[in-house]
Amino acid sequence: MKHLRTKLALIAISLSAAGPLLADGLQVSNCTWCHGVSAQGYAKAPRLAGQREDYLANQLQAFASHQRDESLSPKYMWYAAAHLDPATMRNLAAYFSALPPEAARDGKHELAAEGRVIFENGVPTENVAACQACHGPEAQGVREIPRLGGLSYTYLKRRLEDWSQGRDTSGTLMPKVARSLSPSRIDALASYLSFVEGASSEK
Amino acid sequence: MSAAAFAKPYFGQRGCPTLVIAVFAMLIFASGWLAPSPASALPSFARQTGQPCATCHTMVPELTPYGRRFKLMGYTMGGGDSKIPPVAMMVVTGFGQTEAKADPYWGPSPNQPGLKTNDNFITQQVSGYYAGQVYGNLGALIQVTGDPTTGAVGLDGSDVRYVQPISLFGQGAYLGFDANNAPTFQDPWNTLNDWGFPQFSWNFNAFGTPDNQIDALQASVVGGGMYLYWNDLVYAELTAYGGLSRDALEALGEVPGDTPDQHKNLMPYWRLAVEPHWGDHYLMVGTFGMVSNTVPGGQYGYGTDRYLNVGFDAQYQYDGNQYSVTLKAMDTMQWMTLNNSFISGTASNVDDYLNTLKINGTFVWDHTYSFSAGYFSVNGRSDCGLYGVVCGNNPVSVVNSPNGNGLVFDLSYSPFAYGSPFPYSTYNARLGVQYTKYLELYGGTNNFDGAIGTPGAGGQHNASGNNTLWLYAVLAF
Repeated sequence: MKHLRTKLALIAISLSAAGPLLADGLQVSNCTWCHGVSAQGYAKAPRLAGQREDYLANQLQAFASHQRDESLSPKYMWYAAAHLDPATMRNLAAYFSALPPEAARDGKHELAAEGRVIFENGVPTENVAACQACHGPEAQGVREIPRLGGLSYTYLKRRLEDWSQGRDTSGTLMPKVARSLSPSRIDALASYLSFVEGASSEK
Repeated sequence: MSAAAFAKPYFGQRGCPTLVIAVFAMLIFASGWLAPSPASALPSFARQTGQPCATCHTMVPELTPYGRRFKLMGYTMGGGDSKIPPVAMMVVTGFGQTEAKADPYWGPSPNQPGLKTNDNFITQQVSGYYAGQVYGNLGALIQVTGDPTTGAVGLDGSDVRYVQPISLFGQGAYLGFDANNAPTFQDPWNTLNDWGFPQFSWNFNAFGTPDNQIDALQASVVGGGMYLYWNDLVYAELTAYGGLSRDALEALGEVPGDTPDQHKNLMPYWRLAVEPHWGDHYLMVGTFGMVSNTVPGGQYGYGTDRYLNVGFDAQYQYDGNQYSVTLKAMDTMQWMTLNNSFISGTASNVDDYLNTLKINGTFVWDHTYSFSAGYFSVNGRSDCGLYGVVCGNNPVSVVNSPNGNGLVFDLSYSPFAYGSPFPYSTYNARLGVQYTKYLELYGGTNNFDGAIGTPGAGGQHNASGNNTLWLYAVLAF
């Protein structure tokens, strides 16, 4: 104990020489700062782990160009993506897409069954299309269409609300799809998806 | 609450490793001896991350969840394209008025050159910072503060940390190594001594409630420790502090000839907190504590005064898209075994206790307008030597009591939370008005220090006379 602080100082100096918070040369900590220690999502920031590589890269470009403009993007991600070059965007997308996703499981249990029906079959009488038609039967996404399974309830709910209210028209079909979703349908859908475990990660 | 004329029992230490002193000496350009002051939303952090102040602060310097993570991850995250080194400045200035003017006996305002007995416009803090990534995973928040009213310049609350991501029990975690000079400065929540409400306050009150020992150690010790932040949920920290020898203190700016406390042996500080969250709601429940050993005034030969602080705190924060609400509570119990003070005659009891309670809340609209209200209370065992008028060491209480409590209200406006319109976009400012109402001081409301003299010459002070209105501006460059 006598030289504890001296030893701690030396350990700190030694570790600092080991280099920055890098993964494959990327400043991953700039992302995990908000998206969680293991990129499983934290607070408002959604899970990145296991997300589709093409989707992540596209979204980074949409943030940087300010095409994606829903409620929180100008507040956080416009700044975060402002100085990323295309190659770094692609590399970050590849890194996070390769991480194993975990389900947030933070939705409302009692609404999950209703949400599953909407996801699988849509609500034809209300002009709500089946989500699985694009996002896959296990909500795993494909190519530039994002994985939805296991994303947090609060994130999914906010995104669907943004689209249903006409925010974020950055070139996706979602405003058209979501405008027919009532608040209760959104609640059910977000609840169900938050419990969907990670499925295969083939691209 | 704030600067107190009442001098507490002294606590000190000795024997700081030369290496640690050297590290701090290299990191600062000036040295001195000051009470710690808060670092606001620092433009250097904004430049480094490319993010506006609002990302990390509900209202400077209160932290959002992302602000807490920025701190726990070692101030190293980037994202900005600035090539300017991570340096910044902050100025705290304002107009203060107390209900009763200060008198020559109690000061300190009238005893300082250029200050009037009341209605003072004072720039009370000018700080310079090295704040941000040093290299790789090594980050620092080094603060040098000057007090324009006295001319003192010195190392203020500061920390240096190295943080390594690891995997533990199948979950991600951050393992941090931290060196700092003020217990609780390293804490990411806004409940404990250093970052608790009010983070800014008028420094020139004649009276204040007694500080607990953790407060008394601020910027007068050096510590090194480790912390673990696991799965975005659990925070555990253990830090060992050591005191500075009198020579070291003088080298850092203590006035030669002063008799600062000396602190003996390593003094452990511990902290455990869990912060589950649901959507935009965050709840933290934690505990902390410290053991310290002090030779008051550096007078060896009477043994040591031993302090045990054990505290509990909690914070609830709603961090919504448009507004935030943060509710905080902290209670610290301090048990004192005052061997030295008792034998030397500055305390009447060997065993004393002192409890400090703070409950407060802040509402912030769009990171721009804030309203805060808080209650503070100190109560403890009566001790004539420590507090009593009769015994004369610190003649503030006619009933020998440290008890006091009051309320603080704060209204503020931060126009540049999302960036300033000036070419220097990370310029930041907070303009506010704060009112502190003292309900009780030293066991009384009226004439708590007794009729030992006439008003203006000592004695016959009322708690309400200490009520303070402060119009302030915090400017960060």
